[in-house]
Formats: sequence, structure tokens, C-alpha cells
Amino acid sequence: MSNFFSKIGELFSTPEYIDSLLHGFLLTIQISYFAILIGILLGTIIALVDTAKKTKWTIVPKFICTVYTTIIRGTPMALQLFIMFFVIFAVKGFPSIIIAIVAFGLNSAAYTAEVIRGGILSVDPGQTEAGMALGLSQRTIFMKIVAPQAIKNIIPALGNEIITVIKETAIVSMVGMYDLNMAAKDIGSGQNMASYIVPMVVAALFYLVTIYLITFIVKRIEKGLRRSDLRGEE
Amino acid sequence: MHKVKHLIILVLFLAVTAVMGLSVWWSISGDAEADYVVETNVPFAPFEFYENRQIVGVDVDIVNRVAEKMNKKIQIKNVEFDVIIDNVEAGRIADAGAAGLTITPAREEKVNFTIPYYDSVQYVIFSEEMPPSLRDDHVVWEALAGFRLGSQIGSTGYLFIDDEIENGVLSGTGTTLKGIDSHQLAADAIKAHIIDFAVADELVAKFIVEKNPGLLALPLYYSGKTREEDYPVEESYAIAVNKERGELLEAFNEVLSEMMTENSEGQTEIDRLVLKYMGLSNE
Repeated sequence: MSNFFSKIGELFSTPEYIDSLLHGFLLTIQISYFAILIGILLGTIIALVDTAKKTKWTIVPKFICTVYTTIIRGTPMALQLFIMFFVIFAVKGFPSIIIAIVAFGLNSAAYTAEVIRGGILSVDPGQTEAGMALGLSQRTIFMKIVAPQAIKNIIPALGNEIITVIKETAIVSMVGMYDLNMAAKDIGSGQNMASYIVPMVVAALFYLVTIYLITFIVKRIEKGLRRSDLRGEE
Repeated sequence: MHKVKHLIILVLFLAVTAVMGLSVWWSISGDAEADYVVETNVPFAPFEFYENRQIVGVDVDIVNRVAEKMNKKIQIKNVEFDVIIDNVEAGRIADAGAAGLTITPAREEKVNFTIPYYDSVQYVIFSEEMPPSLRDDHVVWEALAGFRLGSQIGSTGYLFIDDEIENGVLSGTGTTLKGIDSHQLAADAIKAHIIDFAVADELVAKFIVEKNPGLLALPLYYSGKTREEDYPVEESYAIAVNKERGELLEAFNEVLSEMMTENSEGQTEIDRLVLKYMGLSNE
């Protein structure tokens, strides 16, 4: 055990190792940030199409969205990443980071869509009916009555999805990208520390701190949104 | 008040997005258009490993020499070891693979190999507490019978063990083989008692045991009729080139034959590079 702590000390006192971890961390954050953005934008569109009223105009888009979420949620992320890298974007010299962002963005969109759809459906349909009885337009009903309540239900689950994306990006080291996980592997390799365990634990600390910060921010936002609720303090 | 708060959040969000976007843009603008892409698998010191996040090593020097000779830009890309041959065969994202690849008949069907540039032998990595039975200073295949073996998936060690279990001296002995993510992780797996012995290339094995006091490594031999007739498990590294890139194969062969010419001390440039990257010479 003392060996373990002395190795942690060795890692933190070697500037090159810290430098590698920080560079890896930057890539992890870059991929996660844009993947989450794409996920929220595309996910919102999918959720809106999914919850829209069935008419002859929405029947095809609804079908496409269902197929999309079924395929994305039904296959492993590692496989999707591989297909993106070695089949769809198999173009010489195409920047890896863009492929990774698209792969994780498209994946996250399917999950985010379900989160948002759930949030919208959680609002009692009686409220929409009441709005209609008052003669409000569909748009006003959605923007002023349904959406504000739906957001309260969406935020906690969305925070969960953000956390999942950040941790899941660790698999980009499979396709040779230098993310936080790869930095740990590099530091743990033969010509450096020659043991994976200590650098892996330190990389895990980086993930833990980041995710703790995000949880904190999401909790704050949630609290702000629940100010007028009777559900009590948290 | 509320409006102002929203505005601040919006501005903050846009600023963060812009900074992140710029940082991504900046990291992309580094990879300029390359004429050829050579795939490799890091870490495999001293042939390829990260030094300040740049891939360096003997293979990288060879590739750079070829780029210089052909006057073309060659990009080196890190991927999983077991996809390299298939990617080079397809030729869509890679033209060649330089990863200490051993020439095997199965691989030769898919890609063209250059002349071999380095001879290596397989080593067995084991824990001091549980050594395999030794024959002088080496381990023979028979000594591994019945144990749990591990090696980097798709590597030569992995393929050799697999062969021996399928139809060699290890068949029917209950020996199992685990494919592990990297040679380093295979060494960690010994310490965690997940496997008993790991098989890896000589230089990699030596790097690993040097930094891990509890681990030892000895060469792996095929057993002959007598002890003296035992012969090592050898292999030759070469560079894999896509079958339609004749010009690239030619350039690699030219460079390699130059680098393998012995100087007056009987040392080739490849030998010198190996020593240099292992930190054994002061070049």
C-alpha cells in the first residue's frame, strides 16, 4: 500500500505526466462538450417530432425518429464509434476529433430525445385541454404552459445524460485518440511507470472531480426552477 | 433583473462555445493534408511510443526517412493493434502499417511486406513467486501447459500461443489464452492473478520487468531433442504496405536496405536507433 502512495507521489511530481493528463483531459472535455450540445439540439428536435400530433405530415418524420432512437439505443456505443471511424468516415486525413464528436453527439441525441419526450409527456394533458378551452393557440399552450413544467422534469435526467457522455468518451482511446484514458495508458506503459493501476486511479480522480462539479451546477439549476414548488427544500 | 441574468448566461454560454470551438479548430489545423497514412499501435517501445504526446520511435524514424526520400507527407496514426492489417488491406484510411508487425502467412495474403528489418524473440513474463519450470536460462512451450496464459490481442505472442493450443504442444492440456488490451496490461494481469504467464516481444518484456520488481522475463523456446537443441521462438518485423501501393513498398525497401547496412563496427542504423530509444546509448 505504501508503494501505491509513493507511486501516486511519483506521478504528481513528474511534470510530463501531469502535462499528459491535462492534455488528455482537454480532449475529453472538447469531445463531451460538443457531443452534449449536438445531443441537446438534435434530441429536442426528435422529441418535438415524437410528441407532435399524428397527421399525414408527421407520420414519416415520426417513423424516422423511432427507427433512429431504436438503432442508437439498441447497439453498443463502442460499435457505433467503430462504424463511424472505419466505415462511415473512412476518409483519409479526416480529423478524428470531429468523427468522435459526431459519433457521441448522435448517440447522446437518442437518449436526450427520450429524456425530453418523457418530460413533455409528464405534464398532465388536462392542462393542454384547459389551455384549448381558454382559446389559446397551440404554440402559446406549449411555450407558456407545457414547456416550463416539462423543463423541471427534464433537467435532472439531462444532468444524468451529460455525466454518462463524459464518462463514455473514455472509449475513444480504442481508436487511438489521446484522451484522459489514453493519457493514463501512456503514463502506465513500459517506458514510463510500467503499471496501469496508479495512473488509472489518478485519471479516475479527474473524471470524479469534473462530474462532481457538473452535478453541483445541475443541482443549482434544479433548485432555481423548483423555487415556486411546494415540494419543499432540498 | 431576470432579463439581465438570462443575457449573462447566454453570453457566457456563447463565450465557452467559442473558446471550445477554437481549441478544437486549433487541434485540427495541426493535421495537414497527408499523401499517405501509416498506422501504428502505441505503446510498443522502442519502436513506437508517446513522448510528450508525439509518437516517436524506430518505426517513426523509418517512416520519416521514406517521406523525405519520396518528398511526400506521411501521417502516422495510432489505432488498435488488431485493426492495422485489415485497414492496410482495405487501403481507404491507411496505406501502410508500421507497428513491429511480424510476417505471417495469413497476414501476407492481405498485405505486402517489406524486407524484414528486425529480428525479435518471444519472452515469457512471470511473477517471482510463481515461476514456470525452467530449462537453464529459458522456458520451453511444454512448461506452459495447463496454465492460464495472456498476451496483447492479435500480437505475435497471442497468435503463437493460439497456434500451440489449437494444434501444437499445448493442445489438450487445458491451457487457456486471454487476449488483453496491451502487453502492459497483461503484465498487470499477472500481478492481479488473472493470468499465470504473459508472452510478449523481447524488448517490450524487458522494459516491463525493469520497472516491475516482482516480475521476471525469460526467452521462450521450442524444445529440441536435447537441451542444446532447443531453439528460440523467433520472428521478423516488417512494414505492411497495401497491395496497390507499389511505389510506397519500393521506397520502404530502399530505405530499409540503407538502414540495415552494417558500419565498420558491425552495427546497423536500426540497431543504433533501438539502443537510442531504449535509453541505452547517449546519442
